[in-house]
Amino acid sequence: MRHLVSIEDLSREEIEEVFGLTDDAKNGHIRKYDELGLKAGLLFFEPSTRTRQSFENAFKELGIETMGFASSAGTSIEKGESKGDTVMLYVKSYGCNFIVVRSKERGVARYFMKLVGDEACIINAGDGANEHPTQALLDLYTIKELHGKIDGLIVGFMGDLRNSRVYHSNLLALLNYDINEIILICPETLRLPFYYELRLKMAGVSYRYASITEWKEIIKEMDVLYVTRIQKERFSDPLEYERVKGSYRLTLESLDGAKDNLIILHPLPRIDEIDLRIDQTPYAAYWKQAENGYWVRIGLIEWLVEENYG
Amino acid sequence: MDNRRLIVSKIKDGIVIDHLPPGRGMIVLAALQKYSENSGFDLYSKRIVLLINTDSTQYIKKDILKSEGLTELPPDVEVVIALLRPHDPPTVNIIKNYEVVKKYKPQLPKSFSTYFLKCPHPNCITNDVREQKHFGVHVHREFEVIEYEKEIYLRCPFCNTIITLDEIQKLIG
Repeated sequence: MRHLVSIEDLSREEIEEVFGLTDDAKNGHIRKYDELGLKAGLLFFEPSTRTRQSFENAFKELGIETMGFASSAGTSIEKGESKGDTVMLYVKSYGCNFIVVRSKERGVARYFMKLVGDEACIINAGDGANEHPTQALLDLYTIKELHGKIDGLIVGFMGDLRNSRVYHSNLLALLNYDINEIILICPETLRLPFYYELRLKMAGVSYRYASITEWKEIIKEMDVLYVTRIQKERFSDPLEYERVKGSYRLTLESLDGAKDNLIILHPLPRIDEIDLRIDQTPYAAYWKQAENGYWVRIGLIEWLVEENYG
Repeated sequence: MDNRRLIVSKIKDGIVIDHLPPGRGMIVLAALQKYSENSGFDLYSKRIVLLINTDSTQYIKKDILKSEGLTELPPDVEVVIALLRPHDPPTVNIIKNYEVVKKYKPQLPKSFSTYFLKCPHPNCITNDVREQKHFGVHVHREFEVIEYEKEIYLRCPFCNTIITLDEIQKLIG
């Protein structure tokens, strides 16, 4: 059984296969699996708008029945049921072939994979501050769609590198490509967790931390600039959040000197880290990125159905 | 007879773990105790000796653990021994009829599951109180061994937390 617990579960060739299926879907070639009688459980213990909706729409489009919940409120979790028992209920009792899980605990997708074994395919839709592999897939797809390639690019990541599961999965995904350089722009306290730096070093990827004071130089270099909000919900110390919030804000003026084909990505929701005037510029790729969420999830589910139930 | 020397008699059948880092023998004893609780092997019904801070020509000081009755070491305990000094592990001697029949240094596997070590990250699912009933039954804690520039790290594959060698020794202590 193939799962998507970490973006490291997919090789470059497999990522490209998903992208190929995504292209097909966008061109109107969407497969239908009604006759297989597949079911998907969407277990969102943590709130989500885009990810849950795009998964639900994608499964339905493919003829796969969906069930589940959008938050723990009103479920037996509130009565003390474990998440392990919850997933086993959806797999063993309700017959789900897919489980899409989001939770604030790190590692919950891998835990579910271990619990259900080969009985269902687990897709990680975000596990705490750890990983968000489907977001990384749609981000890379958007980069490839707009730049025509991923190899050879200079990619900047700005904001909360410590707590952004989106950045963690993106960095691991980029290890599959021949990236020119990765530029990390963040407060000292929000640098990458050790594992991700270790993986960058072990892969021999060229990367560096840049200070916001070097902004005028680095904005000229980047082909892709990824921005995230500082995630208040990941801070255990409110004072630490207050110290860094608002310190990394992109204004229209701050893009002076940027390459014409620079693309700015953001996983949304945003707070105030991107000036609304940027929305109207060709740099703003985040609307396309959000739209691609649906298409890439179609491509991914098709790929997983073919691998597991084909 | 030299009464300044501590004399420990030989064991007939069992295991001698030599060249343990000084003061760390208690960790191996605790690991063996944990193993005996889970396996039914009655560790304390036989002779067991732990020498702490004894002289060593190679390491200046070392610990030695002798346990009668064991015929081999369980993999979980071998991992604990290897983690005490991964680049130069302590020596395990298997004794049969007073003779050393096998001598080896336990090596770290690429990955292992264990009940001796817990991920130190408080938000890791493996530490979630509500989920504990599944651990050790349906799911096991696992660690991946990563070696980079001669340093050994453990990675919790559930949450990607990296544990350095210094941390490992505190966590299994």
